[in-house]
Amino acid sequence: MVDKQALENEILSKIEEMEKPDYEFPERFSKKNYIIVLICVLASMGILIGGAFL
Amino acid sequence: MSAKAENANITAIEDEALQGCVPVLTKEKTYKFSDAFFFLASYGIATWNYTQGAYIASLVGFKQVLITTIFGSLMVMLIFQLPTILSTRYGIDIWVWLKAVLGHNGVKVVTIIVVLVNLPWHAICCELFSSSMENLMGLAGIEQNSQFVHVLLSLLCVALGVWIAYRGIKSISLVTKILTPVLLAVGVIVIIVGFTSAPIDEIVNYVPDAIKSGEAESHICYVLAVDAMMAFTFTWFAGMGGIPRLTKTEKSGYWGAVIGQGLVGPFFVIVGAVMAISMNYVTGEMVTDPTLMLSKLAFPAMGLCSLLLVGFANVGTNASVSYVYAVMVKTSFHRVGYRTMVIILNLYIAILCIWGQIMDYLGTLLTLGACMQAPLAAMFCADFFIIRKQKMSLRAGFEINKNRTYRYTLGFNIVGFICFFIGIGINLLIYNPFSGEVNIPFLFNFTPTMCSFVGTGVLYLLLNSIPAIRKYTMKDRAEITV
Repeated sequence: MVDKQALENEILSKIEEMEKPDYEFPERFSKKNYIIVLICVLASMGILIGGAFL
Repeated sequence: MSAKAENANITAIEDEALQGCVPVLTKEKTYKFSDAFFFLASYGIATWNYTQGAYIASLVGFKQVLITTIFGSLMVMLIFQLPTILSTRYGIDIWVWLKAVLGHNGVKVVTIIVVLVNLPWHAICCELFSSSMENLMGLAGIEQNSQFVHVLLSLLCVALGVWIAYRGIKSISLVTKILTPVLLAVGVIVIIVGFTSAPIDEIVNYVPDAIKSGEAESHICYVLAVDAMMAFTFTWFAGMGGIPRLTKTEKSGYWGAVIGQGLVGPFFVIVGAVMAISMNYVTGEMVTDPTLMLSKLAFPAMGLCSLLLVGFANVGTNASVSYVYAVMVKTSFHRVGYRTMVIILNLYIAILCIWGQIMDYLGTLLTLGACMQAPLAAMFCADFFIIRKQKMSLRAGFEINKNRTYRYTLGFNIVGFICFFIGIGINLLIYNPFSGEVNIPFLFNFTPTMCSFVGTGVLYLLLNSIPAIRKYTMKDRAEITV
């Protein structure tokens, strides 16, 4: 078993690191990616509906 | 604490970032798109894909097999995988976020239920591994009918998966980087064998017997096929955050999963369907054991390819699943070490293998898994994007300094659970999977799984728009620090 307090201290230190104003988060999911997702979802939906008539 | 114990504790803590519940910081992330893709593709390739393929082929013709398999899975993955960008952003598993939706104790209960419902799939994999190895032995002239040996072979699959998973994420990654391309290549070979064993017209124009005889209605069968693929895909929901938390960018985690699981997984369902259709043409039986299929349709030595398709694929899946489920359960049970968790999870699988009856419950498991996970995915999407607008209290999520914000009512978010149970009810109300009765034909056209997903999401949003309920569920707003 991992020591509970040591684990909590480690988690807290990571959170505190993320709370710093200069912490660099990973590159975000861009608008372009959201648009690609939307197009793919709508296309999949359309193909599924069309497939019912085959 | 002695120096030795202290060193062991430090190592265990370091382990917790990669193989546990400690957030992974940006500088600690090492996974690229290709790493996520290989790992999650390996997770998605298992023998049950062939069984699923045969099931879909028993419902619809070949062109509809392609459509329902690829687009039924892809559409669902594209949607429910989106919130995993939080796993990359904050380096946490999705089940930390789900504490805001279900409550701290609610997540404990639901993760245990998910493990109980989902892990039997891996016992099924081990059973299929055992059957395939017995068929391989048969081809080599060794007749094997002993139930004891059958169970031992199943347990061998469990043991090999544990052996890889026990060594941690780096070991699993290395194995999956080798395994996934090899399996993809063998999958292509199987499709070629399938297409060359029967006239192409026979496969492309294949119509299931039940539809040819008029026993089943083609429209209902099509919807069932789409629903089966959506349900199949939703069973991956529980483990979706384990790998994106390690990826360097949000898009690499997301697309690694969508393409790895959402496309590669269905490719092997199609492999299963092609195998079943070809075998049906050649032998009159829809067989999905790659050993039998390859030896019958190609030449006996090709049955050795099944060693890869079934043997290594299932071992790879068990290793990958052991990791993502260990990380998932550790969200609630922090102090249990990763390796201990791998052993506990696989002990459960081993017990099911020894019991030996799990294959009889394949359909029930798929139904239960989808019934539960579609509503969870819906609430997760609604909560992440609309209710909490991509911000949660990490200190409350990890209960730092006894922060009880996500404890709600005795550790359960009542609103989340009401929506969860209603979501399950929507699915079962529309279509009874046990009797095969369509109860609400209009909604059935949209598939019971999708109705459950959309219905739960809408209900969750509506309830959270009521001021009194919003006050109950949104206590964390003042504690947002990242």
